[in-house]
Amino acid sequence: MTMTRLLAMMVVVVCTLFTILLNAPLMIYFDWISLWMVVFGCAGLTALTFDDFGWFIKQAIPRFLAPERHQALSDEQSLYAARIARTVGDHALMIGSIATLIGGVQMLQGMEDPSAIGPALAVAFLTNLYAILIVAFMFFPVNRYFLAEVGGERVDSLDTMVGVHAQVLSTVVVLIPMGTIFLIFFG
Amino acid sequence: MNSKAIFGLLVTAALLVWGILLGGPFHVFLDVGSGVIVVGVTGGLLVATHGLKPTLTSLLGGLGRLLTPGRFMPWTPQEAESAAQIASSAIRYAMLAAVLGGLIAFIAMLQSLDDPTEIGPAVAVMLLSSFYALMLIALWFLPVSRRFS
Repeated sequence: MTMTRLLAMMVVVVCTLFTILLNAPLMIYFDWISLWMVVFGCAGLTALTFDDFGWFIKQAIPRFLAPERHQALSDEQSLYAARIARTVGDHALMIGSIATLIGGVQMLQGMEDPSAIGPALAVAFLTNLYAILIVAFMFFPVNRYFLAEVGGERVDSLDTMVGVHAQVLSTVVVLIPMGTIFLIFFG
Repeated sequence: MNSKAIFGLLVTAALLVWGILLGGPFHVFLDVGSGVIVVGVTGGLLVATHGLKPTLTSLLGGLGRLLTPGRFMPWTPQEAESAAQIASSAIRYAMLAAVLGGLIAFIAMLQSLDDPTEIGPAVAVMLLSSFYALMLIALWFLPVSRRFS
């Protein structure tokens, strides 16, 4: 079971890397600032929200990675683990959205230098990309796994993914004015 | 004092400010109109829905309990549940206020298309209401909502 799971995760990572390399060299997808903002911002917000994140790392993640070698969590613990995973994912997506808005504002304020627009916006969306990668490769699967262990998401319906709404909002809010400006000046 | 939580909040805020300062001056991120619409609409709708006292005790008390749990009485499960509900409403209302502020600024921009140099800054203001709303949600409403639900 563990082998299958590892293999499946590797397929996911390899497919993503393949698509990236098909389009451009890997290095243009790397930016220290974006990485730090996502990783430490997400960790900081999680430390603010939950004080037993260590339990999640020590008990829930090993159970997800190798279910046959670690004892099952109780229903309540599984739900709690699912909620922590979803919250960490939401925090990552929120940081990504905020970074998109920061990059968007800076880009629109500096319109007189068109050569700076592309890189500024690329860094902004790069933060978003890292956030989505963290969520997609790690916290979303953990969330779904523990929900499936309890048997259903009806118990976990207080909030939908807030981060997804934030993503939609920030992307729309950045892209609509840009599209309008390009239509007006270059259309 | 929950030093981990305080540290986490400070680190996140510092990272975001750092990201802002790397790309340009800070003052372009200050706008009175966006702040008024986000805070006013979110707060007003919350008070209209849940009442003034429950809103204040849930949101301020929630943040206080996250940062300095020793200085507050622990909530009963019902109180915690209602605080999480109110924080959850706050998330939705803040998103709504962001869309509202963005649309208002966008329409204002469309009315003044004659001067191309003005368009960039005018649109930047459109993004600021979303920026303020998402900051409020990320640093305040979402942690409270998720901790106490």
